[in-house]
Amino acid sequence: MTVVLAEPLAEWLHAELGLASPIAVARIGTGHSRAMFVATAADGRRVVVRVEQGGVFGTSGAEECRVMRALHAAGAPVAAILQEEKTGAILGNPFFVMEFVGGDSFVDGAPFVDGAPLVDGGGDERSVDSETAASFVCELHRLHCLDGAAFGFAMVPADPSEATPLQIERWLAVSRSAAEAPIPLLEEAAAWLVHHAPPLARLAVVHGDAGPGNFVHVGGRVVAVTDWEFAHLGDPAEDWGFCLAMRGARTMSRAEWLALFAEHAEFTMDDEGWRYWEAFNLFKGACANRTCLRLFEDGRNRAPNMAVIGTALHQVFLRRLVEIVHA
Amino acid sequence: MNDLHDAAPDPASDRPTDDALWASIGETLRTVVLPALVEGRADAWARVQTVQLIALAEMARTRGADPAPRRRHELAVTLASIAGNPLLGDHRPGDEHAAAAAALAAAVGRTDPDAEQVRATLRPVLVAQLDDELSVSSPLIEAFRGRLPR
Repeated sequence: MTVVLAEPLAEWLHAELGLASPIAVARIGTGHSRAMFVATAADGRRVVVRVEQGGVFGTSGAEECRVMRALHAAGAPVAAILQEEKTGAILGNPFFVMEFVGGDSFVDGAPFVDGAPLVDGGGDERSVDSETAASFVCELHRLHCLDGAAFGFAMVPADPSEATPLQIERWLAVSRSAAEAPIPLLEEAAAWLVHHAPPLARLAVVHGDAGPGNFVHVGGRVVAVTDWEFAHLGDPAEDWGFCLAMRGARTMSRAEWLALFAEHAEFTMDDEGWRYWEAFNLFKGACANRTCLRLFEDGRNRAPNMAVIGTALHQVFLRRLVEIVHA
Repeated sequence: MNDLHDAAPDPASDRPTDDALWASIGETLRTVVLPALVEGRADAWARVQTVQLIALAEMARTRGADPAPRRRHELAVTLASIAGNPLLGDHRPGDEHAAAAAALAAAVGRTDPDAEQVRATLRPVLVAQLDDELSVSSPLIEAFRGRLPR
């Protein structure tokens, strides 16, 4: 964090949370939708600050915060929210503060844009052993079994069957809001995804960016799931598909993941299903990534990663999506 | 703007060319700034961002004219070739992408000749344009991974 922003943040943390000065602020991870900082007070107390980045990926920090609070209250492995700054007056963007949860793999902070094997994030933060991976699958399954209606989501489908089409509509709207003209191949993919959307009997809490790198683990046990900005109500298959094809692809083999899903979540799906959810997640990524170019162009976020994500990464996702849709 | 950007520099100009400016930015970031951000001591984010800036500078220097007008024309010609297709609505110049998007979306789930024609005609052009753009932008992926462009 630049000195310009670190000082007002430290003052705010002191005033709002009573953190003892001086407070050291250091960026963690290389996240894009939110910048993440660890603030360490003079007495050693640590908190994590999660700062919006001008609307990257079209997600809302306010909703993320609301959902995290509700999930934490329900006993889900989610860091406690300590405070929220909604105005953007302190750092130029809204942010919230949560408890620091230490672990072997804290938070890589990198949302799904670099989760795909298409775009190797380069780090080894997603390296987990089989015991930890099993614990993650158990926790994700537990999350999927929660009653999702009560968790403060902005979008609540009237019927489970509407959930997936609603998400497709949502992400298409995000893409359209970020582009001067419709992107024909993306629009075709949206129609294809709606046409092939599998039936859904029960709404579940879906993390939306699930997999290695987005949880904290200690001694083979997942103690916190992180990065909730894509959480929504929908089909658990989206999370399993995301983990299999994207975040988890470099961690373990496909066969190993499938065995864990079957053993710990009793979740199985045919090849057509896995292909559908890979397409869905690529579509979501392509739409979300496109927002970065708009932010880069209009000056809300001039960071170079915005230009890279909004162009090259958007195109890589779209290209792979087209391969599935046109197959 | 791109026409100006790509125009051959006037030999009598006292201004440095865009090419030289971008090259200077990239080279200085690569040889001066990045080595100063010593690994392990500097903010990792600063290093990653610097690598990405180097890649952006190189792309800005080498990418050439914006192909958007050419691609729009190409799409307009393609749409004209299936003008009688009922899946293709009326559209005005400038609305080619919206027209192509609507036609492709309308063809989803249909196997009749009209739908097949839309797919067979529009998809190859659009995919080729995407591949063309990827050939320009793909070096940025390496930088996104934190690896210096060659």
